[in-house]
Amino acid sequence: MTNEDGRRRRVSDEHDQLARMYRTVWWGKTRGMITTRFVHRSDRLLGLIDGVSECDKTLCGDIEAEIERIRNEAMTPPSCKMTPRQKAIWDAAMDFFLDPTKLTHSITSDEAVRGLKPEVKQKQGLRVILRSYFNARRRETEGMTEHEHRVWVKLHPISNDVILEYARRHGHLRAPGYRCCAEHANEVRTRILQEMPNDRLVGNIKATTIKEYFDRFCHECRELTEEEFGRLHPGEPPADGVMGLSPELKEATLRQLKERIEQLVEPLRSVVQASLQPDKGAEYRTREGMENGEFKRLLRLATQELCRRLGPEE
Amino acid sequence: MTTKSPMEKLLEEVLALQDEDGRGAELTEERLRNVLLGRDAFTTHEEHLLMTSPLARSSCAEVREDLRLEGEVFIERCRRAGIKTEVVLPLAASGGQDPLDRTVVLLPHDDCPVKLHRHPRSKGWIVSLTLSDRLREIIGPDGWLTLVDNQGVTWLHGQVNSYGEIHSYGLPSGGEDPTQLVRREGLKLRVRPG
Repeated sequence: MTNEDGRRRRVSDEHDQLARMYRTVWWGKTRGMITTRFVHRSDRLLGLIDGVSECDKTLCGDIEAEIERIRNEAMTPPSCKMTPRQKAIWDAAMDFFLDPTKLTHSITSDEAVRGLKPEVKQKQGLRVILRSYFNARRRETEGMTEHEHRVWVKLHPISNDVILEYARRHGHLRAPGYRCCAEHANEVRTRILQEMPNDRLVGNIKATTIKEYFDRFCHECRELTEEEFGRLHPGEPPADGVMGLSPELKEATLRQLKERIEQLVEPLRSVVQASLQPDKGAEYRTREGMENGEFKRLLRLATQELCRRLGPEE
Repeated sequence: MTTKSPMEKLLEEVLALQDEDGRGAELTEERLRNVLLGRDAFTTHEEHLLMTSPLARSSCAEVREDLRLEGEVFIERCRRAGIKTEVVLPLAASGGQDPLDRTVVLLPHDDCPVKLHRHPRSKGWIVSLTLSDRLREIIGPDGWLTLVDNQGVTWLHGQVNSYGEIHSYGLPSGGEDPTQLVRREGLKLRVRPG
């Protein structure tokens, strides 16, 4: 074997190892990426089902076709040169190709994603459906690995202890499905840190990883209806929020956003600036004789443009 | 709960529109932990990832939440063990003599006494911490500790050595003179993990 062959072999082994991690331990990241890409392209789909209470065959066909279109677009890797981890997460993601028929069934039997629950945004409903759909797909394709089994049999008794302790203190058990919420994952993590911080299997496990285990392997949570499940899981971690930015970086991003607003063309710039006023642009609309619908349309355009321009020059 | 400004809300809306092409996977949890614990700083490229990748932000939020939990548990374990996690400078107890006239200042504590001593060959100060056995047990053999005052200034940051000590040079952060800092009324140093 030449040196070059050896190097290629090493790179390939490292890649396989990383891709395996994105199918198992880091599955939440893979699922997060596919979900973000799907939701990003879902405006037309959500428009199709907005406010629909009954789905006939024609509509189901349209939904399936639209899901297929989104899937094909969302599951196409970028054509540029990818970094090793980017390549690995994409390889893992390709194993979880969406089945339009199954997803259509989930959508037509859920009210939130069809905009029939005023307190839940359609996109939030879609995220919950995708999360549950991908977890089920992962169970089908990967099952439970030996390592996951070992971790799971450790986590479950800790969860029992925490839940029983609550029941002893308050005289009643937690609501069904509580095991799978983020709050319980934090409680389990806290218990581990307090009592077994050096445990080889679970000592360093993150709260979000604990939540992943319950989402995937806890029967109690799987028996809940999608709606009940959705209520306990108000959404994914705040991937699209500002939670991942440090205060300094958030300030820097806000400064940059202000600069980008200044660079917008008219009337987009004025519309954004007006929307930031306490009256949310009411005075501007009156002055300009602009309908509210048109104002919202321009604001949406401006927001998209700002999204495209955000991010420092590298 | 803090109220978000209109600009912050707009920023959230803008970030919510971002797509993910997998680049965010490059920002590993190990790296995020190092930066969030103050052992390193984000590069421009990493800041770019955080501004533009929902996956990178999500990973960062997860690690931050985990560190918050670890911090809470550390305080709780110390509380249970009867370890105080604050070090107070006893200016009043020094019998009227200003302890800062000396080249070595000792801040006594049952479990983590702090020693400030002038560097022998430079103008800077060395901050040292010696951990008791019970605090070492909580921190773990290769644990990291940070000493921060009530103004948010970092005094010491480092990994416990085999003698149960941590030494820092070049701190307090922000280039401030510790002899001035310790004169502040009500100064308290708080020990936190990481």
